[in-house]
Amino acid sequence: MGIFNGLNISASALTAERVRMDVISSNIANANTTRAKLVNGKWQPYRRKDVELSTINNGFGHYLNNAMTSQGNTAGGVEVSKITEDPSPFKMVYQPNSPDADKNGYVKMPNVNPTKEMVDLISASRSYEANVTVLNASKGMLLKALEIGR
Amino acid sequence: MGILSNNMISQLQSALNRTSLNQRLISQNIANVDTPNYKAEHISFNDHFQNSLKANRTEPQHIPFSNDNNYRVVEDQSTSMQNNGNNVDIDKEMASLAKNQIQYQTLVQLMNSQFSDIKTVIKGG
Repeated sequence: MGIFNGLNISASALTAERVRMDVISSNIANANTTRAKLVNGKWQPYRRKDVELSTINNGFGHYLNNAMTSQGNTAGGVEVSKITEDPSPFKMVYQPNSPDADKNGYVKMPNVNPTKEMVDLISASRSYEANVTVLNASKGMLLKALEIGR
Repeated sequence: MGILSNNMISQLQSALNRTSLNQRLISQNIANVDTPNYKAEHISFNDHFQNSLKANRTEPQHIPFSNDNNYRVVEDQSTSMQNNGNNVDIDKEMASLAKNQIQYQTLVQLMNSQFSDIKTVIKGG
């Protein structure tokens, strides 16, 4: 159990939240992209991406630590375990003069919902701020500990 | 009782240990505020439980077992704050973060005043 464990936990969360924000940026930037992937010679629109967060509590060191100390499982942080694609159907928009229109004049648009993305963005941003606060608190405690006996 | 093996200092030391463990738990809870199925962890004071687990030392000079702390980490499985099974209450965690920080600083200040008392005695006023 290192001294900087608290800082490392907050740092892992900052990384994860930043990845989350990057994915949201990509979703919003590609909200109108109709040519993202070429499948069997046909262009497919952009599919909304989603992050999967999970606790870091795997590995031998973690279990050894748990067995040896009475302090329980405090080794974890958070990580982005997977970036998944949203399988929901594409939006069909009537645009007969678009080069991507099918024979009925409909264009497949990405399944990105801007409202949902904005809500997720705010949530990621707030989580990031909360973790910065914790990081500063941990840093303050470490600095205070240096003053013992001074 | 020796001048440095003061009872107050060792008590402050274990309080500081407990506060820094609490800090780690709060960090972990806030880091996992969006993780599905994560359950918040807290320190639980459960003297009776720990006392029943405590190994009986036949000789007081024997090295104590690591389980001799009177606290342990528990997961709160009973509630759900969000639809994804997560039960981290961010407001509660931020409040206990502030509380924990002040507690730590107070303990360090007390420790320092203990040391300065000892220094006064050594220097003879």
